[in-house]
Amino acid sequence: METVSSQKTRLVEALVREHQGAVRGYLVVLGCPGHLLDDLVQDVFLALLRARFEDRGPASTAAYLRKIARHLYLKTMQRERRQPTASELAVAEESWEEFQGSDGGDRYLSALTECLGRLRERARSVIGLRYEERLGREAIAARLGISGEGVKSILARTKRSLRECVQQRLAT
Amino acid sequence: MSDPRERTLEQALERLLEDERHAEERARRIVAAWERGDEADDLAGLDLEPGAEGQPEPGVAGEAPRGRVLSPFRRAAAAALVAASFAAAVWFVARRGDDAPGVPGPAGASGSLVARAVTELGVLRDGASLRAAEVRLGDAVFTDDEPGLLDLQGRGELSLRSRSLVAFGEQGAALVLGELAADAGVPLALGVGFARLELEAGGRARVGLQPDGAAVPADEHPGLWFQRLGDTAPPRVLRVTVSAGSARLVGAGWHEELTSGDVLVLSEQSPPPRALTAAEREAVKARIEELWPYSGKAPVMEAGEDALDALFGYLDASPAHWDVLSEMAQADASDPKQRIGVKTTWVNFLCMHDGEESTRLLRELWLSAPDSFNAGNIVLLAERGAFEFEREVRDMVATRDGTLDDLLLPACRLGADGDADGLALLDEIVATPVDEPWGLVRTWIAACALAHGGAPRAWDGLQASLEDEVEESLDLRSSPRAARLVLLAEFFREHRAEELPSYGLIELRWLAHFRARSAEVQSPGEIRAALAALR
Repeated sequence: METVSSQKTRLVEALVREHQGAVRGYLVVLGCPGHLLDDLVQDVFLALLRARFEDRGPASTAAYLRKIARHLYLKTMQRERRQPTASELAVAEESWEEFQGSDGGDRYLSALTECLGRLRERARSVIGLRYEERLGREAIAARLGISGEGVKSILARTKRSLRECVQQRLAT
Repeated sequence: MSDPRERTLEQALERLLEDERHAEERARRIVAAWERGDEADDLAGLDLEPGAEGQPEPGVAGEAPRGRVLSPFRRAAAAALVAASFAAAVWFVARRGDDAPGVPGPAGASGSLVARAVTELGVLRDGASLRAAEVRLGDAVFTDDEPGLLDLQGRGELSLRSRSLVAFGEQGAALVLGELAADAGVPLALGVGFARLELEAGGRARVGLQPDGAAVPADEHPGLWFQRLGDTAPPRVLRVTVSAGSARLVGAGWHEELTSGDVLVLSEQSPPPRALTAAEREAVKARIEELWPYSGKAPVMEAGEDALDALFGYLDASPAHWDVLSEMAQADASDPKQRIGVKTTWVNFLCMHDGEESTRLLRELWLSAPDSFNAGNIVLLAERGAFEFEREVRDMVATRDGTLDDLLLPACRLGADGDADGLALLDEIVATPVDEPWGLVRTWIAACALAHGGAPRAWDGLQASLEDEVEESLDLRSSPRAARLVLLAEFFREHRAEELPSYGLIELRWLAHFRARSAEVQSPGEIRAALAALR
């Protein structure tokens, strides 16, 4: 028979699995530096759980997590003397809202999937090695037999064209 | 990478493509931390109790002032500010409040809650100075060396730059001196010295108020100093930049309608502002293009100092000239069809001007065209105090995002200051086999930064082997290499002797030295003479 403690753990696991992608994405869009990201995501969930959180549905939970994430991010940035301006924050929030839309980002991700399918082989390989295998620029260069600078420019070009492609699809 | 739309794509790619095992692993770590009873880092000040109904609203709790660990410098500065602020508080409540629309008058006893700060800020309240997160009607809030963020209780946000003073009265918030960015959640009126700025809901604006031609004593807080002077305070210069929505600037007997992208600069003593007419703007644009000393293809350094001085002189003659230039730069930066070379030229050009206007414009370009900035530009702007570039430098070094050539100057920026990550990266760079001739320059730059950061081994090695290397090159009839070595030693010994060396412009400065001296140091005799002069 499942104990109360293991039931709780299971609920927490489900909560984290359901929302960690969005919390992580939101912090990235706000401008959270990569080396602080994992710690901040963890802090956001710990803060939520410590606050005797009541589950009132996914939308409510997501909004609550976002508020905590924003607060902890600002506090961390202020401590590190890298506080964004109100304008920068507002632009980042707008970008997040655009991404989220009314479907939690599904439309954006679906458009991105289609755009990825249109990439040429070399660009697709670079994107795959960077985001699927999480390789650094030099490792990608070694794997593909091109220079680090070459990888940098392919990544920049590809991301630019992906952004344009996604924007076009979202606009139609 | 500071464009939020690019960051949106980054996180979407990660969510879409990342191996699920990574996400699982992260989820397991979070659950394990919860089971261990770990607490979130630095949660003091957060009120995380869910609200009684509707959406929970975490915010900053109105807790009692807490102790803070301050550096000796900060402690001294804080003590000086507290001492000065008590006296200033007396002046503050006595200062006349009717000298401008929107500036709140004295409010006497502290009143209802009007704002919360994300972290505690300096507050003048009832004639006393304290540190608090809660701001009440009648308070004045001041920032010291760190900026501050104020939540206006659902009406919007004020992001205060360092050493600014904002008063809260019956008519709302009013900037007294300093700089802030206002983000209006609802229609918001803000006192801005001798005028009132009315922002529509969703509107955003940056406002600066500085003394016109008078220097603030170094040991005083600018806002408190201004208040203490009372009627003898110097006139102020107001600068308003609207970045979203529309706004209305209202003064005594005049008003000006502003929309996104408008910039207005006016002095407390000057007549009411008037935006340039379309014909005037075209004339300024034509003059800028006439003075523009190079095409998009030519490197900025080729322009020559005289040509740059002529253009910068024209721009500095009037804020309106900078506004027109800003429009031109923004138009190129936001045009997806514009060549990257043109955008890069804008950035390099603006980096050659060390001033408020150019730095402000570069910060805006960073948002719209981050790809146009190279490592030298980023380091230079970090050295000039722009926090987002400092953040980028730290990110680049922390994530090792780039080739050693990309990372050299960011590592110098951090390593020269003794940062462990920066020093470790510089060690790697000096240990990397040299691919001449650029590799040689890279090694000297890295060794110099290591020496500045307290690790002089590589620098000492270069000095010790200099004469042998030069002679060996001459024996092999490689005079260019020998000359380059001597010129490197000349240049970097000077750089090494500087107390606050800049690494943002070091490549350009090295090139200038090389060009100036290489014609004079060519033959073996000239090389040996230059070497002897270094002994």
